[in-house]
Amino acid sequence: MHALKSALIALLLLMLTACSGGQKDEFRVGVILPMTGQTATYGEESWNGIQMALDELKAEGFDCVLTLRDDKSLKTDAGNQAKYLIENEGVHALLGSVQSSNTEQIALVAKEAGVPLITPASTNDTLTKNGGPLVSRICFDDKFQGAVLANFAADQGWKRAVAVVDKAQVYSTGLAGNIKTAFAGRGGSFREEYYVTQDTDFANTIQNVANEKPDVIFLCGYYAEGGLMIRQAKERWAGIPLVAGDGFDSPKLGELVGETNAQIFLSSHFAGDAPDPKVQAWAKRYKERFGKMPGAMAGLGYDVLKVLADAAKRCKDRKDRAELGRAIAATADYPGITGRISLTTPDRTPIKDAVIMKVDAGLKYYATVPARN
Amino acid sequence: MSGELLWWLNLLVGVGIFTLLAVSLNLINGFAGMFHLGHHGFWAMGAYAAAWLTRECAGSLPGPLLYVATLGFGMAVAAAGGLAVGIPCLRLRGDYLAIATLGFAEIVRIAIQNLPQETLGGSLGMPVARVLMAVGPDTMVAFRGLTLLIATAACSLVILLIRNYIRSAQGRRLLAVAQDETAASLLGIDPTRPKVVAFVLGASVAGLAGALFAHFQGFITPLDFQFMEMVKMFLIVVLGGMGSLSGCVVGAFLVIATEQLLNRAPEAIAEWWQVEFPLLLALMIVFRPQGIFGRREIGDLFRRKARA
Amino acid sequence: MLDYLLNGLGLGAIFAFIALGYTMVYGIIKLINFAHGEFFMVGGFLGFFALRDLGIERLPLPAPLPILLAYFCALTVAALGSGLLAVVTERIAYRPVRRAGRIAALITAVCVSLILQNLAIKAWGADPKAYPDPKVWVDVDDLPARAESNLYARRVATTSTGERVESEERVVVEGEAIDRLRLKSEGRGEVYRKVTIPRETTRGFVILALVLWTPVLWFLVMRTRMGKAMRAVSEDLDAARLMGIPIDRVVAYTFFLGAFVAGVGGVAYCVTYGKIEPFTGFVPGLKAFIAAVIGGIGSIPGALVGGLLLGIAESVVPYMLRDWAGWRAAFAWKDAIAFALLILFLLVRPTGLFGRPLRVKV
Repeated sequence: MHALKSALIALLLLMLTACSGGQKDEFRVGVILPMTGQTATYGEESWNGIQMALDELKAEGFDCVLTLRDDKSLKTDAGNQAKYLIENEGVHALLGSVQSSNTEQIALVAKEAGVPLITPASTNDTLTKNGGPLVSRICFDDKFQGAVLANFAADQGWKRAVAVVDKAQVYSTGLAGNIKTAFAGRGGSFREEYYVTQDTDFANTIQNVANEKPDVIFLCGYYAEGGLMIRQAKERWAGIPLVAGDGFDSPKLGELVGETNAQIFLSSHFAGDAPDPKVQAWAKRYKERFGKMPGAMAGLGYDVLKVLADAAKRCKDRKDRAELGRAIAATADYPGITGRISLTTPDRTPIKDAVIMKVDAGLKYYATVPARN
Repeated sequence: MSGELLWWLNLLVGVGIFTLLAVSLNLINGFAGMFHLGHHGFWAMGAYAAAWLTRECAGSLPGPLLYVATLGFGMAVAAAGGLAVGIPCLRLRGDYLAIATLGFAEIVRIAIQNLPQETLGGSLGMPVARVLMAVGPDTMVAFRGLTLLIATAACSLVILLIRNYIRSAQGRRLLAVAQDETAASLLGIDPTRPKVVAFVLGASVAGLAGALFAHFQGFITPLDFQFMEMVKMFLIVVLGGMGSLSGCVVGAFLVIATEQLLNRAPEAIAEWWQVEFPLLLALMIVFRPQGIFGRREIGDLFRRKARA
Repeated sequence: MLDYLLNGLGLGAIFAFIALGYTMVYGIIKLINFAHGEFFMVGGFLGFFALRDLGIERLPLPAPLPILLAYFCALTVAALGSGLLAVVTERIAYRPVRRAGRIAALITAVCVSLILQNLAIKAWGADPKAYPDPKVWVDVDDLPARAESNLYARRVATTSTGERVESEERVVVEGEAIDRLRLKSEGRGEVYRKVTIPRETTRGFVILALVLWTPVLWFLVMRTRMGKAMRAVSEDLDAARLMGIPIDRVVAYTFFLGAFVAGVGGVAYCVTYGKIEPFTGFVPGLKAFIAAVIGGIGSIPGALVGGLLLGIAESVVPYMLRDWAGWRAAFAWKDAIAFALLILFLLVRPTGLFGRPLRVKV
């Protein structure tokens, strides 16, 4: 019993000492990304982009301290990390995450704590509306993306569509809903089939889709399941074009899909091999530093830190979170590597171009879809 | 300094919620001897019931009143769940009961996830409006403090209730049935009734914990109620001692505190903890299976000293 | 309908492989080894490394021998590795708690499961790894003038910080003329083309493996001394001990056998579905356990039948609900359906299909 009491006291003392956390006088930014788990490539790429931006900012003389936390591609962890960064690290702004479901959690915490949040890549429509004036993003939203994909398919003359939806991800259900509206508006027919995150056996879903004999299949989830599904569906879906959203933009996609003759298109924010000389120069620098071509997440990561820094420079006191939030929302025509970013729109979502990419031994640039107002 | 206070409040509310869960689990597993692996299902039912009622009635009732109403509603829904699961499943023994209850909890989670989004939010999750009081950067401390007060009150009441129940005639019958069902029935004790009562009681307390959780978090998703949480509850009960109520409180504090401390620890330590935590639990089971308190209560600590 | 049935059989065969391990261990020491799913997962990982790193595909043998050999090696490595892990786990974690009671043993099992999962994360990373496609390696000199299919080569790059990054590059497109000199000058003496195994083939192989394995298992359990010892211990442990049967050795053997089969199942699973990650074992493990219970836990034929039944139920029941009863989203609920079936089963026939009725001593 004595040993137990001593142990309890020791634990209490440990907790009290852990409460040091001296708050120094710098500009602190918290970054929450999926560094491990189902969407790990997004986190890794985004962080690479952020690091490139950080180095450039430091060279210019802009000082800030970044703290990176991993949300493990899980919703619950995202919320916890946000609380930690705000309450224990005392960050002045938050950047992240990638999966819309996770950003939702972070947004709630940020809103109640009064800390501005910018997400680089979460596309779900209601995020910034529900989040309030302190929550913004630098990518397009799913309403736009859905229309891009639907119009792309309709332009190719495809009329019967089946969408494969991940019921456990709000990104997936949201995107599918938007595609459906736009596609129906172009006179196409639309049905949905389902799976769940972390599933591995897609035989039945694949069969269900094949039975419908569609002209085109919309894949509305993330690459980890989607890539596998394509691999497993090699015979059943032969000859049917596949169209996916930015959830498929990952260097791992090729590995997961394997050898395939399928035509796979996907929409995304940024293509490292787009015909813009500025983009190509940036991509070259990225490749030299990290050994591979940048994906969309890298470009978005780079831009999100730059946008935050740009807003901070416009503030009288960048550590005043309310003022910082207002400065962010006043960002107008910022020339990002992923496009021009203006957050003055009513829901703090920029109007940007999308790129369509084709899978051809890797992700290759195919076309640009200009932003439609 | 306010950041630290917020951290402590967050921690203590978590301890409160898990104490409720542990105490109710202890009632079912420890006192009633029923091997129950689906407690997180009742927790989820309570949380979602509370969230649903909050959404339906926000505005038509004054905030704090609605808050209390949702607590009661959460308890009722979870209790109904306990009844629905308990009556058929209590015929099952040991491992089979464990699997059946686990299956039930998973069904609850999948059902919540797959119901249309308008009903319970599906995979997106469900926001829970702040009805107790407005929450913003200035009121955060007050909000957490108030929640902690409510949680503490709930814990005290529940522990008192369970303690008295165990000491009552009904409780004795339950313990007898748990020890040896055949012998008890030979003595004229109906084996199923006390078990069902204990099960429903445990379920409703889990529902209460769920409702508190929903209001505190402000947003719940099916992923908040996964099997890992069940393991955590189990760990707390085992750590504290399967027959001890105060053990649950101490166990909850130890487990939640460790979890929160690790959240702030450098990544290197936090990573290895995932391996050490079950390892410690396993070692505990081997070398001290009765947990910290065994069947004793914290009061006994002081009583013994007095006697010496 | 037939498709769904066959899908279900393929899935069910994998459940059966895992369920066998559960049922055998439960049969002799009355322990639900929650960590069994992790043996399955480790088997999958070992198979992955065997396929990727042993380089058996590069052996200069006539095709398709190198590929078959590579898979055989992977299966063997996985099965032996899993078996070994199980024996070690049993010795370290389960033997000390054998006398400590049901709940203690179960908690230990859950702990082992978590420890193994997290060790796997530490060792191999939490991100899913794609199972490598079988490759046919060809010397550049042996290539025809025109490529008959896409050809790939390994590429290693160094980043500005000195890290080595390996990737795969397509060097020739199907139908293109092959410039041997150019390839050689770029340092690519060996290229490969990827072979895809159709889903039906893997499915067929898994079912075939189960069919082949069943008589072997029957023989081991029914016709060997060790098998007799296993049956004796599962009947009555104390009596068996009194008869001089070395309990510890029997238990170790059972664990080995169960995990051996699970390891095979692991590789089969990963080849069928294409990926492996530390969490791969959890859900199939749970479902296989359900299968073992349905079949009657402790009974080997029960595990086989239960596994196949559950696989079919998961496939066919949602199909029936969707097409015959009009429930569109039935497939999204398939896990819930599996659990619901389990509960229904337990209520109607708690000891499972082949289980022995419980005898309660008063």
